[in-house]
Amino acid sequence: MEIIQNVLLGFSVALQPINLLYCFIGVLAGTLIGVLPGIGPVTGVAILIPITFGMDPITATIMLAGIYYGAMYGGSTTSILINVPGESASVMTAVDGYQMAKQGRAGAALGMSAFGSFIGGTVSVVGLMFIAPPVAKLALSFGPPEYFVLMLLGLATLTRLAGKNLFKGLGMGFLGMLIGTVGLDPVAGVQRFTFGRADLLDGIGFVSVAMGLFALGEILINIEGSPAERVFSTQIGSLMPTKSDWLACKWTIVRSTIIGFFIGSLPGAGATVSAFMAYAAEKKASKTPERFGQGAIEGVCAAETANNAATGGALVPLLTLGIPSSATVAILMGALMMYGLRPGPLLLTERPDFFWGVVTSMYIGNVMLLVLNLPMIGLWIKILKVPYPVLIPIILLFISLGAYTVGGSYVDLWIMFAFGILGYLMRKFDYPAAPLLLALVLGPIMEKNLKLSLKMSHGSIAIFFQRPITLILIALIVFSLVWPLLVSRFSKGKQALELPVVDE
Amino acid sequence: MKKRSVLRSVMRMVLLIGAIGMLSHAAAGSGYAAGAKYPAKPILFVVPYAPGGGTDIMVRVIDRVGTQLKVLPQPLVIENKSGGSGVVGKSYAKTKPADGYTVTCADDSSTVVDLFGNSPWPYNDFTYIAKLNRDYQMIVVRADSPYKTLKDLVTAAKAQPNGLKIAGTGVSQIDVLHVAMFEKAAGVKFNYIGFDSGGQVMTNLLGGHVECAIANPGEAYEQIRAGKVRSLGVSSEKRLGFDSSVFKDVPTWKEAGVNISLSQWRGVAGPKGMAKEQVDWLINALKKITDSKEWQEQYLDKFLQVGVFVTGADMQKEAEEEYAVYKTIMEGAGLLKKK
Repeated sequence: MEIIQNVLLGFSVALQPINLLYCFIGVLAGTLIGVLPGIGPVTGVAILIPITFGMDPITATIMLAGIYYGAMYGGSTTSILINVPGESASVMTAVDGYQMAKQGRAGAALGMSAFGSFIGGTVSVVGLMFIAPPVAKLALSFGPPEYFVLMLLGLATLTRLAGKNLFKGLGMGFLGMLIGTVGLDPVAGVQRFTFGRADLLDGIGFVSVAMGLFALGEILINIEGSPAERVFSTQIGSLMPTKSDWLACKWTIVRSTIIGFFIGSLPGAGATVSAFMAYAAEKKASKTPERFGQGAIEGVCAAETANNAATGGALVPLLTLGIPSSATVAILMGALMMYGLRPGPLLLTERPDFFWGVVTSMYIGNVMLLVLNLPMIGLWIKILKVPYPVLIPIILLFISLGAYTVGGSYVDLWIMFAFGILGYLMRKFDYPAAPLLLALVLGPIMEKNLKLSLKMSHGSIAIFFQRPITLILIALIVFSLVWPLLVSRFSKGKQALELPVVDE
Repeated sequence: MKKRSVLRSVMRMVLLIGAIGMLSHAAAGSGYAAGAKYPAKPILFVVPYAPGGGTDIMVRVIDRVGTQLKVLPQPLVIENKSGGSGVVGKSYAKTKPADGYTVTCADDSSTVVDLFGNSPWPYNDFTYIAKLNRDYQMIVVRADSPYKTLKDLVTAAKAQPNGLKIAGTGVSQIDVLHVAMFEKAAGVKFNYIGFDSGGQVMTNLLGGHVECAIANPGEAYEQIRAGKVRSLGVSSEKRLGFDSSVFKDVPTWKEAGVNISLSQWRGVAGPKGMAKEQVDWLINALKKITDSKEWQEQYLDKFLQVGVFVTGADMQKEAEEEYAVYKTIMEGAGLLKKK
């Protein structure tokens, strides 16, 4: 079979000692970059590109790809331990992961992240090997109308993230969308809410908002409380997920891998969106959705599995069509061109050694990451034993540095501080942060694609009902909104009129 | 006491040697070239776009080739500050002293951003150093498109004004203007759909969501080579000399009956008010770099750019003429937001 030959060719390239070495360097650097807040894969790859000049293009790409998917592993660590999302795709990991850490289950959360990441990452590489061409074709069939409806589906899941009070959750969602409108209008090109500042032309940075709401908000709440009730008073439990954790996450891993791979392969959606979607899907599928946000291991597992599965998906359009699907992949593509490779539809046939070498190296890299990350859990957990008065300044230093690094601008720092205060108030009055962040990610993509769709159709909304994929997605939205209503009608009878998604 | 006087005499000696050194430097400087004293430290090159993009690559090749050829005594310090179509990074560079140790990218984007009213400073508020390359535009369609020639496309567009969708990059950016210029010359009106990146433009063209697209040769090359996309014409004066199996048969817009040629360009500029010696030194260095075989191979050929070399006042004059042309076009198309 041809595919077996190709895979063997790939391994013969990837297993060369030099490539193994650089794969290891890549995943190690990626893990560190993921752990450091603010420095995400985009910055990491960009910083390390210059040192790859003069290297063999395959070796260089293996290393850069390692940084990319390695960062997704690393990102979960600080999310779980100190509520600081290491990069944007790890925001949903923080929601339940940090709660688990507070309950003394940080080890289980970190372990499940590592295993989920491994499975998601590995299966998506297999997907990249076997079904890349059809997936790429599917990705091409997504034009502006499809993106709009997909993002609408994402927002419909907002209700799932809302927490105890639906109205508070929706309110936060609206606030997120509002914040997402800062910057240039995506179609008319006029400035909105920028106060004439060039720094705000591209909008308010997601990383600053996320770190403010999560990390800074948490710190403010914690220093307010009495020392006795501070976090991590509980014992640090087992370092590994238990059997019941595995049973709970069995299907989560399967579903999140599929969601992550497909959403990751869509140019413009990416790992962050896929983590949100996978989390929401899990909450929907769960028999006990009320545990989500309170330390549900499925939540951690869903987000981490999906954001790693998305990395394999993200390489589908690059390697099959020569089209970058995310900012990190765009940088990777620039690097490929500098090495003299020509990423495009012909890459696969002209340079099979390159394609299969890089893809199989990702398989090896994922194994390395698992081996690298599991023993480190014991080490990471010791962070929790650091006294809080010592830990706070360190966290503050790191998140400030991180917020500054994103755009190299003080504005991002101020934004983070402002959202830190907002995060504190939201916690005090029990407003959930996740819907705000979800809306901030999805809102601008949704707005842009809505406006482009209407421009394509000269203002007629019929465009959303004439295309097969949009129709399927619309059916899914209707289903996801109506289904809980039906369920509650049949199961609870009298309470049918109550809002269906309110969690007790 | 004794220790202190020894120390003092050592200090004096150091100062003296330093002074002699400086004098000799100055003598050499006035002797034949300013090069001996400038640059005494690495030059900061602010790239106002993200790493891995066209401008970033250009600067990195300048750095690499310049260091290899020993034209640059020390490697450049490259700092990426992206955002606001280049405004953020250029603003940052403009806050630095005009002492020759900070330069940034000059391009038509400054002009366009100014015209669209999104620039805090006038487009020509720089010290122009050198224009290094041109990039052209092509109108491309999917390989299975019914439009075989530019004439087919123009005829179809005339038959249904605003009916044909053309994809381009950005909303308040150069593609909008170039489409408007094409429309004016061809007497048609497209429905312009502006995406965030060249990659998205290609995806939407390949996916059949738009009828045609405007793209740089480098953006469309691989897709044409793979037979997925067809180029109906290029905006240059004569046909492009790259890979002849792809570009030999691509007519210019003028040949295909649309009487206009246009291009984009990139170069180097500094904060307003740089001294002439420093500008001359940089021009000389850039000349050596861009004349080299390495530049041709590693930048121009690889990224399908056409090399040019226009400097200082000439470059400024070209930029000002271009501004006037673009302004007229925008007025005609009702795009002008500035008074």
